[in-house]
Amino acid sequence: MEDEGAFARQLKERDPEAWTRLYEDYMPRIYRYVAARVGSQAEAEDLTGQVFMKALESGPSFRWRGAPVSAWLFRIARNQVIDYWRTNKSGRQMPLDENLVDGNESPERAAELSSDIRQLKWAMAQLTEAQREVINLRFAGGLTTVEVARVMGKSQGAVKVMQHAALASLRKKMVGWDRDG
Amino acid sequence: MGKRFEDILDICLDHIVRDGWTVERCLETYPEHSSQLEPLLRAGRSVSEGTSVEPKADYKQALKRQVQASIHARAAESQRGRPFWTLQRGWALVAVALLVVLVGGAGTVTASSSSLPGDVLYPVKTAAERVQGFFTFGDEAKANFYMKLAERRLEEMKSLSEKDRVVPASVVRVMSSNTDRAIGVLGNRDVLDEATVTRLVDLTTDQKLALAELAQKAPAATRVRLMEALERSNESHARAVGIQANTPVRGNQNSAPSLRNAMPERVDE
Repeated sequence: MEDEGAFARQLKERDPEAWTRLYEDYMPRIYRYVAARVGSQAEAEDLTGQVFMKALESGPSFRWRGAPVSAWLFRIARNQVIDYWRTNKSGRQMPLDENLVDGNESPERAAELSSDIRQLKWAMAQLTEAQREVINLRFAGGLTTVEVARVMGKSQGAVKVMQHAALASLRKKMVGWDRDG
Repeated sequence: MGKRFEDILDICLDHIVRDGWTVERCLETYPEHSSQLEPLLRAGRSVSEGTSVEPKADYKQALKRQVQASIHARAAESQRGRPFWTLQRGWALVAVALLVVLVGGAGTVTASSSSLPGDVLYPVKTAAERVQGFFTFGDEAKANFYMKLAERRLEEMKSLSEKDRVVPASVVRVMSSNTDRAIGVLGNRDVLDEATVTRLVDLTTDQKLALAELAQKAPAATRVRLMEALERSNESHARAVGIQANTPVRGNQNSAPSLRNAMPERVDE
């Protein structure tokens, strides 16, 4: 945690090395989270860029209060996504576009994943907004429940309960998940 | 006391998502919960796979270059800091304003209140504001003070425009920065006065309208600057509306607008 404090201080002081490290460590995770929330590669690329620019802008006013730096960055990402949906009210929730399948997969695996993603997309749409947010931050963003709690302004216990309920709901909604399990 | 099931599920998911554990390894670790855990862990693993998209390599590189360029530009900017002579000049004006007030020259300060950028008394007006700011305490009072300054700069911009006088970039910049300061302070509050929140939203709305109008009338060179300010003002307005939507109002907890129900809550950065 002491290291985290030192890292936060370097970011606040706009230390180029610290910012490069932040980018390297978090850019793919921020991108995955944003992509899961907006469902479009082009929008995800735009918003991910905006997240880092926003972070750079607000860096000097960042006050470290013991929370992980990841929570601060993902909070910016989450707010960017919320602002995005506020200004693009049509299709408020379109996560996980099947076109987002990684281009490095084989055609067979890509087809299989596309089908899974379509199912997942439908199942995710049945969740409550808060459950969906927990799942996206946890799995697409790769955050721990402590970090998710910080990002969402909830208790860790509440996040764990939502995670459990969301996975139980997804499990019920989706079929064939044991295919290669 | 044993762990709750939610805790065990969370530990297993951490291992699967972050440490590459298989579902089976988790089930072996917690055999007493295996039947309940298995379907949930498989669901978690599928979500993890379904969201594991990677950004394109060329995009990643391009954004990295852009971020690094911004970092270096901003680092250089903050190292340059503020020239020593401007600090001295600024504090000298504060001292003059204090002296003027103390020695009975309050009339000069009052007279300066209607002055505009470029007028002889304008530095007295801004110095008096700094004195006032120094003696303003408390988060909400500070935020209201910043809003007052932003409102004044907005009025000055309107007056200058009506008189066909040039609107200096510094006035626009000071208006925007005071608005941001107010938003920064209010965004960190757990509960707010309704009047304060309404004032913030009104301020950002007025700014948007005034900047759009000024930009239309301005010559091309100034228009670009005003359009940039308008863009910043739009962002400030969105943040102000976000604060209004997400922060309980003192004495009236039910007064948050319906946006609260329509969208997830923004959490301050």
